[in-house]
Amino acid sequence: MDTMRHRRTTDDTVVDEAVERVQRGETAPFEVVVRRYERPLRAWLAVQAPPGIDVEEIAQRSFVAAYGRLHDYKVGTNFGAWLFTIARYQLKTETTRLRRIADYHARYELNLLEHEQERRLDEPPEHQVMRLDHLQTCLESLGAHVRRFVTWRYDECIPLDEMAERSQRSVAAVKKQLWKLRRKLHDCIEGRMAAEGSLS
Amino acid sequence: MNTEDRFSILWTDYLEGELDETRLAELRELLASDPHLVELAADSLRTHRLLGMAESERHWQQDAFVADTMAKLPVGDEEFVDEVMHRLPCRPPQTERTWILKPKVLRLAVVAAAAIFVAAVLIYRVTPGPRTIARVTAVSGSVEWTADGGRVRTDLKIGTPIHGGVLETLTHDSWVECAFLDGTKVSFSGYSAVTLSEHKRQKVLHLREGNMFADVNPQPENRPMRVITRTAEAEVLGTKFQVACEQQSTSLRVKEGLVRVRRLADGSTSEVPADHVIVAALEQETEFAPRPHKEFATTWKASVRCDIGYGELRHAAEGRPASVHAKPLLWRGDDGKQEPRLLYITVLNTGTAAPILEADSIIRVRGRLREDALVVFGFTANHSQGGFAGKYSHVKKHMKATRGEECFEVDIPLRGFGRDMGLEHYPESPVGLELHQCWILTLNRGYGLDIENVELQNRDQRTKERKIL
Repeated sequence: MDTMRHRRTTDDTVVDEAVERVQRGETAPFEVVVRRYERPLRAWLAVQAPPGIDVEEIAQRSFVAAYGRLHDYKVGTNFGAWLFTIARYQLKTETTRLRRIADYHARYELNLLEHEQERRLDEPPEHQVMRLDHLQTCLESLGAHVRRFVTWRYDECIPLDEMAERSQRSVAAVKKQLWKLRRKLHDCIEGRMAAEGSLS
Repeated sequence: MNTEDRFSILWTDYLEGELDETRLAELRELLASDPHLVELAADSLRTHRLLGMAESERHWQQDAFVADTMAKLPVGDEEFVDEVMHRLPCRPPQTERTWILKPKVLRLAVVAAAAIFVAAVLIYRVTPGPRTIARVTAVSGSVEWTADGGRVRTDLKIGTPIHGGVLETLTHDSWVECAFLDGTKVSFSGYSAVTLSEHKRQKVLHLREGNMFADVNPQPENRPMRVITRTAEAEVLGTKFQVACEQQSTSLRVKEGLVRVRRLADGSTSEVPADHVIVAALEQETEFAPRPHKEFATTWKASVRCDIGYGELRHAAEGRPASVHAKPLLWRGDDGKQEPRLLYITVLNTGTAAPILEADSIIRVRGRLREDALVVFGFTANHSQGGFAGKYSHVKKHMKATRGEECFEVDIPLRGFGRDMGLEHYPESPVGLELHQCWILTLNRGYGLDIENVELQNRDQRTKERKIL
């Protein structure tokens, strides 16, 4: 989120123009901002949010909060970084709220995991969108017999026992398959991230 | 089983939400014992989340998200002041009396007014606003919206946010169209009453009575739009359809896609494909199966008992068929703001038949009139893809009274109808539009206007009729 290293693009200029109009009292141009940042923001939140958090809800709250404080933003700096700082606070507030709920402790809380996630918060937000794009490529490289598990689990959201029935495997084998699949995809994504990093 | 295998099983169960407290404790212990497992878990969680997002992107509705977010922004000054003014009690009627205020009283009045305004602002800001689920995109005639809090608004205009509640179209010629935030459009016409709600992106519409047209964009999986009437419930994932709801039955016509309909009387369900109509009546012995709808039906004959939209039904007796007697109505113009006029009117709806108007169509009306009077014959037309198009009328300045059992029968060619009230925003010609309702009215008094039949005829029908004669 370092504003000094940020190189301005045409996108930034368009966003800044929209922001200036909103600062002058219009509401409609804020749509430009929402359209530009909804995907990176959701991707970042999806990765950073601990279990049990509604990512879309936090994304929307972040936009609303940004709109409310838009006069604090200095046009010409890095709007994305400014927005992600707000999103980070929104996420923190929601996480704190959840931690105070007894049910959350029983169902989700894994302190060590959250600490690890917090440690990764410093990664530039745009990395998550890059990861998402790499993931699409990595998915294409999977064989159909493996790819179907992704569709069943993440698109059709079917339970493990049904996946076992469909694939004629045991539930334990399906769990193992999902575990291996995520690891394989993780390695593929990170390999591509590293290659991109070394190229740039 | 080694530690990593055990961890992989526990972790997968954790992601599936299938971990009980004992095994959650075991997972915590494993994570505490090995930092490498913490990293593996964080990597796996990240991939898991990205997979969820990647797979859902195909169904992701950016427009809906953007519209929903925009609707949650704090309202602008103009809208805000409008809202505040609505929350303040109505102003008493102005009188001719002139008040002369002394400077001190004036200052106090100004301070008091400012205090009231600040209080109103604070109340408004502190009270969380209801969530906008839709906006009015077109409105014509008398329309009323009762919001969740019981506040009634009659000043709906294009852009007015709808936060759920009851929407009513109050006259035979009133019409309103709303667009949900995902672009799904619903319109209501005639005497209609509907309760709109949306929770977690599932739209639920309780149509108590009246006519509805819906152009539904693809809905989230497992969250179909539900339309509930007195006799049926429809579930829609994305389609165009039309509903006519009455006390005893609901007819539903599908124009595009597929709609699943459940008859409430016995719970039976049926799937209605495009260009089909289904009727769900309270009587279980009636047919409940989709029938093909002639897409380009160009004729229609009213059944006054079933198609009555406004008026007093007079049952058949002593050799006289059933008829609809004109009933009084206070009409305030399309915008609801004109000087009220007393009309005596009969309205007949085409329901889901919705025949298409052709250049050589004629409208035949048969009825009685006790006294000579000026009679206006008119119809309301919809676009064939749904939604109100316009109103057209034909005035007969000197209709002769009928005697005894004698009836008048007038044939009015389509070209004999002009845009009602000369309103130029209606299409110039109604050719190609769908006939939605026919209305016949007199001004100021009823003149004993009684309608036995209304018919839309095409050229073939008239040729056939002539041959028979």
